[in-house]
Order: sequence, then structure tokens, then C-alpha cells
Amino acid sequence: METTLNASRRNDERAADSAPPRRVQPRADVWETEAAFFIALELPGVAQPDLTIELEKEVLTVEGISHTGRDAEGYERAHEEHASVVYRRSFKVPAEIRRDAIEADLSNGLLTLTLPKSDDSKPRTIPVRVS
Amino acid sequence: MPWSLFDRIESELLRDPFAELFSGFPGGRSRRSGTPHSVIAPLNVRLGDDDVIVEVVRPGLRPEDFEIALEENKLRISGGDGGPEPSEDVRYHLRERPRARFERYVSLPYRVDADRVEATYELGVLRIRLPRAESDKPRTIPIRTGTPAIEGRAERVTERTDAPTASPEETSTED
Repeated sequence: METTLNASRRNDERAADSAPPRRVQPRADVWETEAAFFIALELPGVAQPDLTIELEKEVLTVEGISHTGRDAEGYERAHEEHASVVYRRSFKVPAEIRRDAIEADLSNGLLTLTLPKSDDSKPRTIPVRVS
Repeated sequence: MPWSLFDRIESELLRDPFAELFSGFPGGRSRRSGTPHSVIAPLNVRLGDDDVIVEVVRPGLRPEDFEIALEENKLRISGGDGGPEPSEDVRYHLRERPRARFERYVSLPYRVDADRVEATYELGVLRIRLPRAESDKPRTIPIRTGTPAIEGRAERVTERTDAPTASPEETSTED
């Protein structure tokens, strides 16, 4: 019994180490207020140094490397639903955002991007005359 | 083989019913297709000789949104929703993050020392370390020679007096 377990542990580790990390699309919420657009992306296991955010023309791309179970050496991977993955997702952003004012906050595995709208794109109230 | 040690009672398989309603950023291309996990809170279990590490992957919560309960050798982890509901002045374009509560169970392969269980929540991953109870660790019984020969493997002998709660998988399927 003991030896069987140990043998399978080594095999599991080898398989997991040699395979390139899977690339997956993270879950996202996108919402809008009068002042800004917001994007919230689920990036569990991604530390700040492993995260890149790029805005090229109108395409915003987020990529992050997630390591769960990284320090599990000497343990048997008895059950695994979330292995190391590369999260990557692109969004086409609206033209009316202030590109130099985008903010990013990473906390508890959730990346929240704030894309403020430029002033002339904010809605104005147009009075309606009743005749 | 060890997969069957862990129950997967998943009330969490319910998808966010609103997710399909909001597709596409303004003029955008993002869609729901390809979203990675069908489960709300994926679970990893690492089995060591002296402890078990259970990881629940559920970003965007606070530590106090989780509840961890241990009864005998059964671990239950449940968790709160995806944060406060936004105010009315908000228009959603895409809503994929799950709001439902989740509940996961793990049947531990051995007794653990409940007083020394540790949990941390970092980078959206809840990590629970459950040390194996000293009384549950296998003991080696020295075999004296000289007197009538005693044979056998002793490494699985324990001091437990009650009936073992281990699942059948622990004792079967030897190659």
C-alpha cells in the first residue's frame, strides 16, 4: 500500500511538471457607471509580479500565471481541480475612456480595472419641452 | 485510486443564471465561451504522511466569508457570495462571476488534530492544513527474535480502539 502510493506520487509530479500550463480564460464581470467602466477578473493564485496588463490601441489584454499547490513537494496530489494555469483575456475597450487614467487593483485573487470615461462622453441631461 | 476518497457533493454546480444575459463589452468581443471552471470553487487535496492540505480556489471573497467545519474525519468548507450587489446606477455588460454560495466536502483519509488546523486566504485561495493526529500515526512494533517467530508487516498497526472510519479504498486496490 505505502509503496504503491509513493510510486503514483512520483508519476503525478512528473506529469504535472512536464506539461505546459493550460491557458484558460478567467471569469469576468464588466459594468459601467456614469463615470467609468469596470472590469473584474478572477485570477486566483496570481501574484502581482506574475501579472501583466497591456493596452494596445483599443485592445486591453490581461495575462497572469497562477500557481496553486506550488509548494506541495513531497505530497501526493490526491485530488486536483485547479492546477497551474495561465490566465489570459482580451477586451476591446470603448474609445471614450481616458487611457492614461486606467487603474488596476489586485486583491484576494480579484483584479479590478477602472477605466474612467472622458468628460465629453459623460451623459448630459437634455431638457425636453412639453408643448 | 485516491480520487474516490473525496466526496463531491456539489450544490455549486449551479451556474449564475444571469451570466448568459450579458454578453459582450460595448463593441467588444468578449463572450462567455471558454470560461474555464464549471465549478464555483475548485478543490485541490494534497496528501502527506503527516498532514493534509486542502485548497479551495475562490477569489474575491474575504477571509470571514468562509466557514470551515470539521467533524470526525469529514471536512466541510462553505463560502459566501461574490461580494455586495452593485447599486442601481450600474449597468452590467458581462456577468460571469458566480454569486451562489458553495459547499464542498472532503473525507479525510486519517484523523486530524483539530486544535492544530490552520487556514489562510491568500491570492483568492483558501488553504487549510490539517495535521495528522499523533494517535492516528502508524506505529512500528518491534519484533523480538528468539522466541516463536512472529511474521508480518506492522506498519499499519495503530492504537485506535474504535472501529476505523477509513473508506474501503484505503485497504484495497494494491498492485
